[in-house]
Amino acid sequence: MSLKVSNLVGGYSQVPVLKKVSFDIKDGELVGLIGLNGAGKSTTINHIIGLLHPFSGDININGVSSKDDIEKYKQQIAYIPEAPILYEELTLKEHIEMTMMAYNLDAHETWNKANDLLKRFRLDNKLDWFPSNFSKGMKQKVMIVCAFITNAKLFIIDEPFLGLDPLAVNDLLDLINKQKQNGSSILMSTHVLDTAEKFCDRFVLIHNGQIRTEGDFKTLRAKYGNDDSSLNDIYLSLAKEESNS
Amino acid sequence: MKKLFSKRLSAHVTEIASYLRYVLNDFFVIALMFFIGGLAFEYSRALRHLNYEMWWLKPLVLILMLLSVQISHFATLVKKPDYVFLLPKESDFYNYLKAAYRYSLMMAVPVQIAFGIILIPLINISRNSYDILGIIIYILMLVLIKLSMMSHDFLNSYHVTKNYLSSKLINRMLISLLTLSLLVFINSYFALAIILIYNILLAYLTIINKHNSLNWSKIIDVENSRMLNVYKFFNMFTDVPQLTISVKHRRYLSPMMNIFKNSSGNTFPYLYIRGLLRNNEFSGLYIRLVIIGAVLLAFIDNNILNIGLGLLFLYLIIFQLIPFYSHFDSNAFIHIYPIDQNKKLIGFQKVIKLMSTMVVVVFFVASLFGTKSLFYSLSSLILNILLSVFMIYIYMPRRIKKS
Repeated sequence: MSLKVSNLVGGYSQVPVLKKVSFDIKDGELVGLIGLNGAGKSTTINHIIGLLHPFSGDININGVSSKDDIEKYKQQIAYIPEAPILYEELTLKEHIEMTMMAYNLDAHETWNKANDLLKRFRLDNKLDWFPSNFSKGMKQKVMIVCAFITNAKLFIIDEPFLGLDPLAVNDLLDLINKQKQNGSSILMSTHVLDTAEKFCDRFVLIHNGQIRTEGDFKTLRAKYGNDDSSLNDIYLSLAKEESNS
Repeated sequence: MKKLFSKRLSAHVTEIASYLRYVLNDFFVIALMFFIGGLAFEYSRALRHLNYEMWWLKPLVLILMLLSVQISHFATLVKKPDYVFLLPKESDFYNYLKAAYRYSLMMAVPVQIAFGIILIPLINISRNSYDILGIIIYILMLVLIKLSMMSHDFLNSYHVTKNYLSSKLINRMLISLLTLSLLVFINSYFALAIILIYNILLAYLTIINKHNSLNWSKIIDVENSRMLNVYKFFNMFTDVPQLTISVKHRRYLSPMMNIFKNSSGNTFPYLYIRGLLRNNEFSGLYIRLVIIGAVLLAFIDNNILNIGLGLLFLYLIIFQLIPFYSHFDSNAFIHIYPIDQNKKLIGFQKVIKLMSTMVVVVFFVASLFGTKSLFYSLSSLILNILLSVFMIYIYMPRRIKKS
């Protein structure tokens, strides 16, 4: 079991946004976290990456709880935020070096990986540039490169497809697949449902800070739709149902 | 559109006024009065020693006039979202720019006239004549050159097809250099005629080009860099939130950045040293204080005062660097990295140690020049080292814990 979130209650201030959220991700699994704006997706992610402290409940990765050994816990996570977060003062090359130092990676081996990724995302000639001046899509690629050079066991990817060109989307899915084969798990939050439908092994649908439902596409179809319904249909009907009740 | 400009202008004036409150504090006004008084006194004293035969007088007048016309710019008060929100108003925008042009001139012309008046005695000596008409032409030239620069900016708010029309080198430097040289060395009427014709030409070109599309990216860039300079000035007196971080690569400093080898233990020093050296706000503050301090120490020959000032400046420098500790806190990755947070303080101390060591060395050399005594400069060195150790290892951790 890669990630296990149990009875998580949490939020930004005293008022809990998440009410007893529990779900898990198995090794080598890609789980899609879906929900409307404000449903609690980012809050869940912020708890998992350790930016927020749970009011109650527990999160653990491969048996290491965030309460017990935060350094060992964090060592297993790589995170790609929704909006790129970059250092104004560092060049692209230095962002990669920074990641290597922070995750204590072997320089030689990691640079091999990094150069591959940079070439793939056509950033290899921009090593001495400041990414803070890049376009949204290119910044996003920098974040992807920095995340995928780590040996993380769990990748947390928040809305990865916006701003990326189709080639890059394809490359990203490719990278995710490779990580899955290596046994790493991925939690991905997204609104791009048709891509999610094709690639995610399982879905966790979050609504008003609670898990509305979870399961693979087949189960969801059987439960909430018919044989032709797409993830989009299921999602829309569930969301409407919620707002009516 | 005109209304929009006056609305922007009144907001702008309120903003500037609120900052001026901080700039014109008592200390600064007194210092400024002393400075201006001293300058005026030196100027009048210097004038007595000048005479017409000195060959460098005319070039000096030329250079001073050239510098004078660089003051003040075309202020459009344009904001970045304008190019999205005012997209359909493009042709109407001419009226906005015209209002901005008038306002900019209103601000710039008095400055040029004042500068011209200050220069009068110098001009008189350089020309070896005291006729009023000559002086008027000199001042008129300053005004007309400034006018042409503003018109050039106005024209370049639009896309112009010819490269020589947008070139700053031709339209600003060459034209002003040419006409001012004519004025000073050859014939003032000739210079006046040329700048007049040039102005008329620019006005004509603006009318022709006003139906072109607006060069939004240029307008926005120019206005942003102008406001950035204004904010930078105010930032010396108070915190300016609009001041977005500006970063320079400074490759020549990379040996210093590489002092901290790439290893996991050096994650924070790696980040802090690059941030400090490349972030203009902090590196500017640091370098300004070091230079002012070093210059003072090199010229003050009172030994005790010299040591005291050295300590004061070192204290100020380290003190100003302390807030940099939390500079990266808004970056989520700082919290996500699997690193012990205690290493952050240790890393920061390493970097500040390096920065203060450089200050101590520079101050030691400077005080050698100032005191001309090895004994006093060595005592200054030892006291400075003690102060650094106290600041970095005792004062700083407490202060950071408190905030």
